[in-house]
Amino acid sequence: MDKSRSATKLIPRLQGLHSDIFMFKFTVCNTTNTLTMKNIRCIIIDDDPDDRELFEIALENSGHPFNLLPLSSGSKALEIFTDIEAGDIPDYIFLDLNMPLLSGKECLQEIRKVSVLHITPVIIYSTSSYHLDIAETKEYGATHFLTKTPDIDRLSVILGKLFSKTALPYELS
Amino acid sequence: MPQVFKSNDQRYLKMIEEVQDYAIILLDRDGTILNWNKGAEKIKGYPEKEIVGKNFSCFYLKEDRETGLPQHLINEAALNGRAKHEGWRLRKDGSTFWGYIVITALHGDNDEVIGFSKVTRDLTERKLAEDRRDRDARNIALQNKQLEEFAYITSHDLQEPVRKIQTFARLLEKNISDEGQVQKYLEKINLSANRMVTLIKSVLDYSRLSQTQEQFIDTDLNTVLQAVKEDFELLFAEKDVTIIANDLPVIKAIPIQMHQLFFNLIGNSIKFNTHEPVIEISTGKVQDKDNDEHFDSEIDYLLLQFTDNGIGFDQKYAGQAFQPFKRLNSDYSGTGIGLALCKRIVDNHRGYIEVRSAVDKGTTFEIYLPM
Repeated sequence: MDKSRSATKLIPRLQGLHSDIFMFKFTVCNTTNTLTMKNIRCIIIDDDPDDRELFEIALENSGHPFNLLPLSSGSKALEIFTDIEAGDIPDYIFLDLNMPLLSGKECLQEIRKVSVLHITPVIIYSTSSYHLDIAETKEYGATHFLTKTPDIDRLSVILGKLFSKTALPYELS
Repeated sequence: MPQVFKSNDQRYLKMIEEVQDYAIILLDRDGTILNWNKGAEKIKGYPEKEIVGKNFSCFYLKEDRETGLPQHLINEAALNGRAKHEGWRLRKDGSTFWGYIVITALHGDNDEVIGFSKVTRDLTERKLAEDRRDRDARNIALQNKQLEEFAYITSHDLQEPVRKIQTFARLLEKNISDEGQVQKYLEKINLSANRMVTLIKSVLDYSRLSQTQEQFIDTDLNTVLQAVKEDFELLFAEKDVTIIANDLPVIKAIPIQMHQLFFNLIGNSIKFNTHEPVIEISTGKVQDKDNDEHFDSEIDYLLLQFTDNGIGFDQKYAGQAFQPFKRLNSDYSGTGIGLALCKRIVDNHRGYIEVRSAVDKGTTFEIYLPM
């Protein structure tokens, strides 16, 4: 499968063209299969550069084409989210909990205040498996709680299921 | 004197008179002191001739007299036969003792209350020991709680590099024939292992900082500063660091911890700086801290200020600054233990540390130390 990703910018809008067209990016899956799939637009918010890179590796093997916007802090994310336009809304937001300054929980609460993002799935991506973290994040409106695992292949499988809209429990591991 | 006390039985008199460990005295219906024994003189400090005829409420603290405690006790004795009480009482010289008191009502032929016998024991020693034990228990509980929190944070933070080593090891295995990938993942594994070593070392540094065994001695802070400057000699030259300090006082402190405090603060100011660091160390007057709960109003404090021209941070995160392993800036390497160590040192000296900062406007640490 062809791996496509645009590193940092969400698909920009060109003047005069309808924004809907830019929600789709057509990808050739392989040489014999001309099936086109929409890119899953993901944002990952994690202060650790290794974890951002590992997440991208997992995405590459998830079975879905994707666009990934990696962000290193909650404040950077909120800067983007506060004036976000409908055409730039991501399909999934992945959010680390243990970050300096603005914590993941605080960031989650701020994200849920942005009205255009209220149906966007926010998946907590954290080293924690602490029951209070799981309960609190659920209360604050997270869609799933994904505990970081050393098994990147397993992460790819979970992401694949998530993107195929398989029914999944709150806690993913 | 009422009828019943006229008979002078020498045995009863002897039995009570020479007892030293208990004050055994006779009160009339209103609480007036009618007699005295050696124990009463020893415990309360009054010789017999000075006290007989006075009311027993003079042994009570002012606030107890105001709330009517003495009267309440003899009323209770009159009603129930006896009243027991433990509390602080006054001696002749104004000092206090912890008394255990039993007041027993004495009855006449018609069962009317004609007076009271009052027995007092001085339990000050026991009370102080109990208070000390309670304080120690509270201290231990607090230390246990802090230890639990610290263990939680530590295990959490130490798991991070472990997980990364596992992750990169698996990826290395998957990409074993790609030499470039293998090199890359080996490098990452090494970095994570080194990070673990650094974290463990900082955990040890933190846990070793205890106060109980160390001696507080006269410490010249100028000498401390000079020693720290010598430690940093090479770095100062490399980074073009300037230290401006006025004359620092001598205080009672643990020299090695003062050294570490100065070392960490100056080290931070150099690290979190994008140009030539300038660090000002000044002393100042402590003002308006009497109502501040962090300060003991009976002690004088020295204000020691460290101000730098570094990158600063948003003041709203100041509360996180002194927490172990909390870093305010991921762009710079570090364990996040430096300021937690500083706080622990200041706590050991029964002082208080605060920080004020703003992004790109430098940082000021205010340290209050008892003089």
